[in-house]
This record gives sequence, structure tokens and C-alpha cells, in this order.
Amino acid sequence: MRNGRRGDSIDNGQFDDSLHGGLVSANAPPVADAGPNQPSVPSGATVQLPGGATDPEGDLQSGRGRNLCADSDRARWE
Amino acid sequence: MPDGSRADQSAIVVGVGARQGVGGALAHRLSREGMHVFIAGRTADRLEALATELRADGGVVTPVVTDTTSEEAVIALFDHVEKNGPPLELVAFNAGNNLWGSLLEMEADFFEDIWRVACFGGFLVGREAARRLVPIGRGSILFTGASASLRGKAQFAAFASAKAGLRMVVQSLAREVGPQGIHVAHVVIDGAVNGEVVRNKVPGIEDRFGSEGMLNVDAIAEAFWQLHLQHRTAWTQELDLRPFKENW
Repeated sequence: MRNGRRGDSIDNGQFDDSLHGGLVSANAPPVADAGPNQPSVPSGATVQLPGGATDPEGDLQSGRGRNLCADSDRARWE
Repeated sequence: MPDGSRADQSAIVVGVGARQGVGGALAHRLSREGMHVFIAGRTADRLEALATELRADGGVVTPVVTDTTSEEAVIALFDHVEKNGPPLELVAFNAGNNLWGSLLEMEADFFEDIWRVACFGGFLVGREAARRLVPIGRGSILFTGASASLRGKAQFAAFASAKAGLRMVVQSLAREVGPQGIHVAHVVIDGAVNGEVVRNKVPGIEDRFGSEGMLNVDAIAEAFWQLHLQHRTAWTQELDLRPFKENW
């Protein structure tokens, strides 16, 4: 049955694994080598990695945007 | 002072910004267990400040400047942890940006930026965490959700849609890798967090909610830790947390 489990619509995400396993497997991302990890190293200075910071002044917590609602009295806590 | 019993384990906390926030509290909680904690955020100064606190308590911590919206950066973060730390045991995704505004006035890049941080970033981190944990067949991947994960209020179209999207990413991931031994859970924080971000964003909010009317960040972190400790015959996939007197 192409749509997966009986009664499910095609877009509800509940595909039958047995029918779609090949497709899932083909699309599965390469799994990283779980090889031996090195023993714990002393914690050091802040690490900068490729692609690490595109916005040095930014902050994941506050985001790059701004509140569109300028009047804090109008702003409600979601 | 860490007890050192988990010194052979690494943990990653993604989304560490404010010193008094959920990310910071998570880092403190995991550090207390003796884990090597990698704290990832976009702002080096904030990471350093938290790292200084953790080290003062005897913690082993490595700050990693990371833009969670960058696939390259997220992969590099996990590669770094794999090469420089003990085996990975726990990953917490806490990045988010609760900003609001009228949908009618909302610019497209505002909407997209919020989605990139809260949803797309969660996908990247969840995927990389699963790629590293599935081969060893254990570990936890925990995500911070919000009231907005469950419904969209007026002016929260961007944030609510991003958080709802993250929730679905997490559910899908949980169903895919749970049977392979990876505990994937989503924590709906249904209330105002008593942290630096909220206090700065909404002046006077503590007075509005009163004593213990906001979620304590250390209590949130403890809930995350208890999720990690759960026996795998009784896993929680979604947990909601709110103050005892929250109107919900």
C-alpha cells in the first residue's frame, strides 16, 4: 500500500517502515565513525571553529532580529 | 564542586547566552555531575563568562563559538567534541529567540531569522547528535520548547511557527532513533523564565508574576537532568513545566 499504514493519508508522516525502509536507508545520512574517543582533555580557551560565528555581536538567546513591538506595554509574554 | 563520577562523559549545551538563563543553568547542572561540558553560543564573551564560573567550581568546560544556523559550524562543533572530549552522552538544544510583532508588519527576514535559530538550528543539532550517538546506542538529546510550541498567539507568528516546527522535528527524531537507544525529549516551558533575557525584555515582569511566579532556571535544568536519568523502559518524550500558580 503506497500510502503506508492502512487508513493513513500520504502526508501524515506515518509511513510503514517495511515498505519505505529502502528509501529511508538510501537517504540516511552517513553515520560518523564512532571510533575511540580520546581521554578528556583539560578545558581550555574558547574554541573558534570554521563557520562558528557569522555575527560576533549576536546572541542565540536574543536573535538577530528585534522586537517589532516597540511599546513594551503592548508586548505580552507569550 | 563536581563529584567526578561522570568525568568520562561529554555533554554539549547549545544556546548558551545569558549567564542567568536556561543554557547557563544546564551547563552548571551537568558540570556538577563531573561531565566535560562544551558550551556553544554565538557570543564569545558570554561563553567565557560562564566558563569562568564553571571552572571556579572545579568544572571542566570548553566554550565553542557556534552559530547554530550554520551547518558547517554545527558539524565542526560535534567534530571538535568527538576529537577532544570523552564520549558524548548528552546534548541539549536551547537556542531560541522569543521575539514578537504584528504579522502584518513583519518583514520576511525577521520571520526567517527566527525560524533559522529555533527550528532549523534544532534540526542541525539533533541530526548531528543522532549521527554521533546512534553508533554507540545510548545518550540523550533534549530540546527546549515553549508555550508557543503548542499554539500561536497574536503577534507570535514567527516564534510560534518555529517552535511548533521544532517540536515536530523532535517527535520525528524521537520515533526514528528511540528504538536505537537514544532518548529524545522535548521540554515545553509553559511560562516566563526567571532569567536575564526575560527580565531585560519585559521590564517589571517579576512584579507582574509575583514570588515564584516565573520558572526558576535551576529547576528547569534539574528537570532536564532527570529526563536524562530515566530508565529506558519508561522514557518521557515530552515534558511540560510551569510555575505552580501559572494561569494556563
